[in-house]
Amino acid sequence: MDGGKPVPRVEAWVVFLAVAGLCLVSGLAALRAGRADWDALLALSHAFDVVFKEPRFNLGLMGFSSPPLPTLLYLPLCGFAPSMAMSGLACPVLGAIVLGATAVMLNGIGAACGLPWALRWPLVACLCLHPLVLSLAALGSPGCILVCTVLGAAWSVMRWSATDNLRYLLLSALFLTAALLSAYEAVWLLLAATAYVAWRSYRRGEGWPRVEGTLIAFLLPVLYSAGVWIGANWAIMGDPWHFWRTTALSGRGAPMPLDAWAVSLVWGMLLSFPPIVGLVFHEIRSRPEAMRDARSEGRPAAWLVIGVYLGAIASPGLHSAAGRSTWSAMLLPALAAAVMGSVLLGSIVGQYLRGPRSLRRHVPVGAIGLAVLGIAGALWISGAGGITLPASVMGGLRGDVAFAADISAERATAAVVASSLAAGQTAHVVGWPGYAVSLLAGTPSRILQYPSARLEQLPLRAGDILAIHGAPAPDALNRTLASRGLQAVPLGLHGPWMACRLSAAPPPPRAPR
Amino acid sequence: MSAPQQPRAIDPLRVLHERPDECANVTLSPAQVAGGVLLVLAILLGLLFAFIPTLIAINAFFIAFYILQSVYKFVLVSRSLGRQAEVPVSPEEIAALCDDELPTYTVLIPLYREAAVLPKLVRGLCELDYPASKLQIQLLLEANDRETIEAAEGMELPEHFVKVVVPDSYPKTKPKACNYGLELATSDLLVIYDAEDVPERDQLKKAACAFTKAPGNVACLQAKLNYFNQRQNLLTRWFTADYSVWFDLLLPGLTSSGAPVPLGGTSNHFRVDVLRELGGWDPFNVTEDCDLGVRLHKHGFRTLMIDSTTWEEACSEFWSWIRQRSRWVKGYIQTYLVHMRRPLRLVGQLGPRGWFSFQMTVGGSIVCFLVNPIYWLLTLLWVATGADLIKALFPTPIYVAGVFCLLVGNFVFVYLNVVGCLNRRYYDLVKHAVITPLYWLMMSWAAYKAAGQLIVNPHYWEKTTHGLFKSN
Repeated sequence: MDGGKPVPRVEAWVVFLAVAGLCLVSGLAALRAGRADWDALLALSHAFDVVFKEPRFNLGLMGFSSPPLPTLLYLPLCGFAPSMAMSGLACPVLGAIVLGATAVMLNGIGAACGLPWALRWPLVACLCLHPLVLSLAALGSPGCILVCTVLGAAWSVMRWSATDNLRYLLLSALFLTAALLSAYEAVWLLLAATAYVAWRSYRRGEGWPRVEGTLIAFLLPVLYSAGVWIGANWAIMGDPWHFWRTTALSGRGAPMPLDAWAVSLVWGMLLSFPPIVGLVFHEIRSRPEAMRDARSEGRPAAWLVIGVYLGAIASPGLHSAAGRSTWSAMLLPALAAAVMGSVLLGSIVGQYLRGPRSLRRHVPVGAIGLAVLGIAGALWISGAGGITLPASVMGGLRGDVAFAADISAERATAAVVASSLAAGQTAHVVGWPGYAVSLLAGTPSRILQYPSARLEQLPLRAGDILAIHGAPAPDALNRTLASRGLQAVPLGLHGPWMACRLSAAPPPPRAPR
Repeated sequence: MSAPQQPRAIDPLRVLHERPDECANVTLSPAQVAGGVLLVLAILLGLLFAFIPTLIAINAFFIAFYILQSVYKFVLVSRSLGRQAEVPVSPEEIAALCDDELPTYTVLIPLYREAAVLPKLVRGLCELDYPASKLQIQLLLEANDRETIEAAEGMELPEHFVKVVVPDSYPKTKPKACNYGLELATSDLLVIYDAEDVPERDQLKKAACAFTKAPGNVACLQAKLNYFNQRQNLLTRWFTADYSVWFDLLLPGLTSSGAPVPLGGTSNHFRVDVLRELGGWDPFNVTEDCDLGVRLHKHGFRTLMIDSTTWEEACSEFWSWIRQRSRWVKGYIQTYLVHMRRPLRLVGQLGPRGWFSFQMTVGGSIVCFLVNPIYWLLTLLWVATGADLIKALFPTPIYVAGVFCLLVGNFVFVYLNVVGCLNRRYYDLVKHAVITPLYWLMMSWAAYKAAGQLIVNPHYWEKTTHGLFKSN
């Protein structure tokens, strides 16, 4: 395609600033209300540890359970503006930058499809202000990086499919690599794209050597990145599959029944991007001579969406984000539908607008009809008390975002820890999400975190601060500490967190003679 | 066929006589010697009084250089993949060319110990799609190469072939022979081919057509080079990947960004008047092509690419490859030193962007080949021993940049080879391109040989053996 004019630089900046600004407003409101995303805070705290935990910058502290790209992206923010990281402000800032970049990319895609600004700006708004997408970006969640990379990957695969231009194949490989390094769930997208690339290469002739060469070029970045990641897990954690065991396997707790999956997935698709049903119908029925380009681009988009859905059904355990709600399982498929539906819509409308006059009479009535039905269905689902979007557009802009957790308790506990920690003392933070307390306290080099541990095993000393999740009864805590010759002096109780100072326990009373 | 010509009043050393500051007869200028001594002294003093900080500074310089080079090459490749960087000439335009309107063309074929390939060469040249009346093909024979001269004399050559015997004099290099050919050229355009070259039949017409479409300051059109024996063995596969990146991706990227182009050894099509104005090739430079590309740019002329391939024979034997590559690296060092005699003036002549590109393409190739083994060794030592000294060389910012170079930079270079093969549709070579880091070891070996030879024998021309493919 690439039939449209490139977007003027001023317009790109306007789009970026507008979308990033809205996202930042939403994120700041959410942060002020004490709401944040655990995954985002985890990545940010790992980045903060890398820079500040030890005297030297140590990449070995970047955490090896969650994917590395969000942590790597947070590194510059931590390095250049540590106060932004300690307050959690880095999360909406990164989310705003990423969502702004996503908007610029989608606007550019629309322009390349030949859409006028009057069509592509609403398209950008539809994706970037969608409650699912805006919520993730406002919280700086790895999910917003996934949206950006999936958009780039979808567009590149579609363009490669239509033009056989090597540049697009390489771009899609790089975007998919970034997607996988942002969220492991993207492995399903990668598998679907790999299958499509193999099939398409084979169809272009020259037999197996072409398939082999193309697949090596397509998969090399992702295999290399995965190899480096596995090697790093092995070298630092002593287990090459540490990242896999601590994510996929732990998420296999409660698989959803297949029928429930099917229903929620269809609902998710309708809610995330209602016109996609119509668009898929359009792709199936469009005649090759009428819209060949749209067809060759639509096929991979449909393939990728279906691949993600099948993957989600095959491995629900991998989709453990977003608080284990119904949306946690549907999130990636829904995002895939939203992102690829947007690109597909731009592509098809662009083809239609730039096609010959005779073609314009060929109004895709069925597709439009189905799209309208899809929107009506989505509205009905929302109003009928079934599954609904986890946030509204206006609510999202006011900071009432989806997938957010309340961090007030962690924030208050961190404040107590930071204000009570004197020179030479150490704070021990026990329980999940202790990383949030450590990050918000802002002194990682003097805080030791234990996701879960027995107090008897910790290197506790008199004068240290102990913050413990689960708020055990003071008597029970003191009984445990007494065996170490310590006792706890409470500093504060905030939600599930209890903070206390450790002091030497008085000697036990002597038994009367 | 005209009788052998032995020019008398020809000066093959015009660059030396007319532009001594652009001639590689002297490896280092006095100012460079002084600057080099000062630099070495400064480093020694630094090591004496501040050992670790000095090493850190050197380390930082090279890592910054690596990053710049990785990014620059990536940008060049993405630029050439994104658009057509060659002068567009369609088959219809070539078919529509009228013989009478075509410019006259000289083809220079420098020959030295090439008696065995001569018959095949002549057959190939006779198949060129260009009117004989407009063509002059010069076989440049060396006076001390009796075998090739006798082989040429024993052949019945068409009228438009000319045998030129180049007198035996110092330096004994290909550019000196080409300068003889240039002086005898009677044409508008000129191209050089090696003895084993097989250009696409319509290459001359394509170049002639491209010259008419190119801007007036374009003095040279570089055709793409590739190998006809790419699948002979692993070495030729790697070499092919290397060439595919250089000629299909990097050079088009350079031309499209208006940067100076280090020309390839053959298939450079020139405007004869411009070439004469510049004094021809530097006979003392063993990569005279690279030097001429930079010189053209310095004097305001530009080079573009044409989408036509000349097929060559890749070195298939290790030692032969090392000899050829060491000559290339030596020539690159000569070229770099010649043009960096006055670095500030070079900025004015090439422009800041051109100057930067020159540092990355010519300087960068030398630096990377020479410094790579040091970093490989450092990495191995660190993995094996975790030595504190090595840790001390990498304070946080340099450590981050170093990790980037190790994990991303190296991958970029490997991936460029993969892309080069894929772009040429050498699908079966892609898997071999993945293991090119082994090829880099050989490159570094050749680079150190070149550096040594530059000191003891700077103008020695390491002859590449041709015909190995046929003998296999």
